[in-house]
Amino acid sequence: MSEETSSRRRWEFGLHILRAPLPVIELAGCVGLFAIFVRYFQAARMLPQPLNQIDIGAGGFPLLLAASTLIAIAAVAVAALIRAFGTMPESWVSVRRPVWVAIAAVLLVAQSIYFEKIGALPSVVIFSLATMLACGERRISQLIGVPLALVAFIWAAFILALSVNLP
Amino acid sequence: MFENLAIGFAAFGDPMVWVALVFGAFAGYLIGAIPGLGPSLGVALLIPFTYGMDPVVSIVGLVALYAAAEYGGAITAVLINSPGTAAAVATAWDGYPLTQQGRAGEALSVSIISSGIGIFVSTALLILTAVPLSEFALRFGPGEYFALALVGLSLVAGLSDGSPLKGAVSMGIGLSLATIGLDAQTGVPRFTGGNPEFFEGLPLVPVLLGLYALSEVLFMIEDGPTEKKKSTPVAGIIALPVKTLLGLKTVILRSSVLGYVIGIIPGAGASIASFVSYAFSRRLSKTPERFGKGSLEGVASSEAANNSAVAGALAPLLALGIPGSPTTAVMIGALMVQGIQPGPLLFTRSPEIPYTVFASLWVGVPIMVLIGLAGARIWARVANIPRAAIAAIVAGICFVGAYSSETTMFPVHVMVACGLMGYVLRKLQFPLAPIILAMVLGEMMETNFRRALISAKGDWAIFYTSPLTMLLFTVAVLAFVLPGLAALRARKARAREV
Repeated sequence: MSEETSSRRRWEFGLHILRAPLPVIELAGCVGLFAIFVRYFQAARMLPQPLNQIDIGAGGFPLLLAASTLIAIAAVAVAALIRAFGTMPESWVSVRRPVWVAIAAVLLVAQSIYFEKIGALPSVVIFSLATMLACGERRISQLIGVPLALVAFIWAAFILALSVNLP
Repeated sequence: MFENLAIGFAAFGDPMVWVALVFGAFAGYLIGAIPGLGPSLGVALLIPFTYGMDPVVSIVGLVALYAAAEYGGAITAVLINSPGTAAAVATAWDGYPLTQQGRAGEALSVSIISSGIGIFVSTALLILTAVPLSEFALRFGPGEYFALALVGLSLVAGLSDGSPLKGAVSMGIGLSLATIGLDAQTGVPRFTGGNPEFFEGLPLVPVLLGLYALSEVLFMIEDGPTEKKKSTPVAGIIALPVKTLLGLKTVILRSSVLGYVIGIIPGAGASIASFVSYAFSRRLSKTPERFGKGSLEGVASSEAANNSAVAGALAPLLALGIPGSPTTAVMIGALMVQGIQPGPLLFTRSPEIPYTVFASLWVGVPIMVLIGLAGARIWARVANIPRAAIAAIVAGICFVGAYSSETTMFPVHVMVACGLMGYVLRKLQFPLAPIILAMVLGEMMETNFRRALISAKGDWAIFYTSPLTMLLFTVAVLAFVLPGLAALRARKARAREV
């Protein structure tokens, strides 16, 4: 998977791989999550106060939740710091083929935008072909056969059998 | 109970139930045989196909898929040393050496039949425990229900991969996602950004598809094209080694019971059940030295336990409404799509649902054993389907499935957002199961929390004066703290070794 504790312990920012120590990535993640939950906490505080004095209101539970999650995030960050400066062998996180992963992420977003505009079945053909290319598939038979078979299956299952109105 | 069981079996008078059972079993074998795709993803992908179906038909298909995926994971583990699911890892330790010794047929037969017996025994245990458990849960008040949900979440967070602290953060993420939408008690919009599409809350199925399936597509793209693994020819696959199986009866029965008990514990699941059972069988074996080198006892104990855990995980789901595994957390979403609310009232209001589940587990055993044995060579080849094709198929079904859930684009956008979030969280090694579980239980938790406070006129003592609530809170704290301490101790030991 993505975690490594091998001897190849070095940062890498190549086109083929991105690699960084797990605690550093965790700290970055914690900063992001902390910001999100601070915003959530503020939004919860803005919610109307309860009319009934014995109720905690619409914001009561989210406030408790935000506070507890912020504490948990801080604890994860502290644990990451301890590991970063400790004597333990560091775990490393890598993303292989990062360019293709980024392209695939963009493709997913693009498909969610164009799914309705160009129609479900054409978009499935186009984007499944693109997904296969991003995955490294270069055999023409596969690139043509799989999207067509998939569309035939979707047509049979969703349109014919389940009567779903697809765009 | 017997009357209700008869209702469960009567459901099989409908030919559609048989179609669902066979289709679910095929789909489960397919998903289970492909390394990296587990039962959670399989159930999530099957949900869109259940829209508009009769609830009984859809639940039979989902349960068949769940059970068959655990069966299927063993086939590739035995034949090509590539476990289809995490729960089949221990099976590969002995299954693959047996294949190398030219005993693949024997190993497969033992694995599939042990799985079948595991399901059979554990379903009996499920019937015996789920009904009394649901009757006991009927006495729970809102405080107890809140505490019970917290126990479930703590166990899943505490036992999940990575650290319990990360499990707690995942739990917080899931609960916060559950608070989006109109407040159930006051009708106040919360965290919607003024967008009316969020008023109903985040749709569960697209969240499941995004977190489990779409994030997996990104991992497949990271893996790139994979090399083919050569499968070994299987000889004598249909010839059942009856004498060998009789010799393994104690191991299979013991592992079935152990697997069921571990499966009940929320968060423990099939993989822990198989590892614990394997270790237990090795300790009690007369030939422990053969474990890891091709022991049929090893294969039988791992497979009987991981399949028993399927029925074990269904016990808290059906009786308490608390999912016992990531897959049952996904399954609760599928039930909700059908308008079914699992929990103690399910047994009194819609007894046909739980009892059809029980019946389908039993009826499914011979079908799954047959499909597994007859199609072993095909399932082994399934592991060689190119990753690129799987990624394209999974992504395509996700998009169409998410759209079909509401026939609007909103669920599609939610799914893509959750897919990207799931990928990042998995990279950061935050477990996804607590997010799903918390999302499913969030509304119930908040409602009961507030009801308990209102019933006690705002007195927070309601949460620590009832002995049952106190007991549940203690279990929740221990479930979270003990795995944390164990992880800390293991880390210190590793540091000393360095």
